[in-house]
Amino acid sequence: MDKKIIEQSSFVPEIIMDPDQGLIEFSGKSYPENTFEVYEPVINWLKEYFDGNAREHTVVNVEIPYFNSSSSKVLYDIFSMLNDASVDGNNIEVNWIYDKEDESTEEDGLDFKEDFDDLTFNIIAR
Amino acid sequence: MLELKELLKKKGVIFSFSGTVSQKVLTNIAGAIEEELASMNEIDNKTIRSILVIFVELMQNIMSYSKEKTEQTGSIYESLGIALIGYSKSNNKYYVGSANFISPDQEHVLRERIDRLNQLDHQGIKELYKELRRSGRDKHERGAGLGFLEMAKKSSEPFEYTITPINSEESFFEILIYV
Repeated sequence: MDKKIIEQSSFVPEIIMDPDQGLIEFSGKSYPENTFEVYEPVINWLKEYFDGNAREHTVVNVEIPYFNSSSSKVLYDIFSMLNDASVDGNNIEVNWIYDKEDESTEEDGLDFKEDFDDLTFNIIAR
Repeated sequence: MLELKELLKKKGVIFSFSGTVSQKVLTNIAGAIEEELASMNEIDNKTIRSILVIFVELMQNIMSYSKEKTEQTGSIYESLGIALIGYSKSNNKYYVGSANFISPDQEHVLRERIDRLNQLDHQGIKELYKELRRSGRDKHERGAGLGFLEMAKKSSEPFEYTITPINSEESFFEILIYV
């Protein structure tokens, strides 16, 4: 599998997907107009990764200080996929990273965490 | 323009926009608004955040409705919109408002969505938000109404809105949201 990087813009986070390190990272704001199209390659990459290409331990770092409603839906779908992969026996750790002054993003993380009992979901203040 | 200025001042408008709403315009404006509000001592960060969240969702709704009209009719509909951010002295709250043209057949869905929301309390809104968000992976039709809920989470009162028929092709939709 190849490493894949989606470049950061003002409204799309940088997304790094590294199959060798078992590392997926999101950093930056997410409020594109065509959210589904933007994230489709990410979802497809994850499907392929967990279809026999996953490392022993996978870390997913998410540092998204703002996201619009369509991104919220897509992120939910991604966490849902990770949750299922966890149930299937994959060792996955999600780190939701937020600025310690940013209560709103902290709450967003907690809201996601609530819905995914089978996923190791850490809320981390920077 | 003096008349306009006086009217805006009377309504407590801090920021106004009228024109084509595109992602590029939105990004630039949101950045400018954030800076402007941050420089105002009387607004706290939480309020600024709420204003921005509502503003972005309203603008993207306008883009989304015009896109839908374009797809349905085959003629290009530009996303023309008006946005206002201001402070209401009468109820001591900041507000975000927007207006745009919609087609009469979009009216029904809009009314349903907003009227439903307006009947919920804060807890009900949070619950509906989570329910809609988890409903069916891969269902991405225009955000499935999550946008209004996102705004409702940040607002302190039911949304005020009016839909005024203009002719058989268009109606004028205006909405006002208090933070």
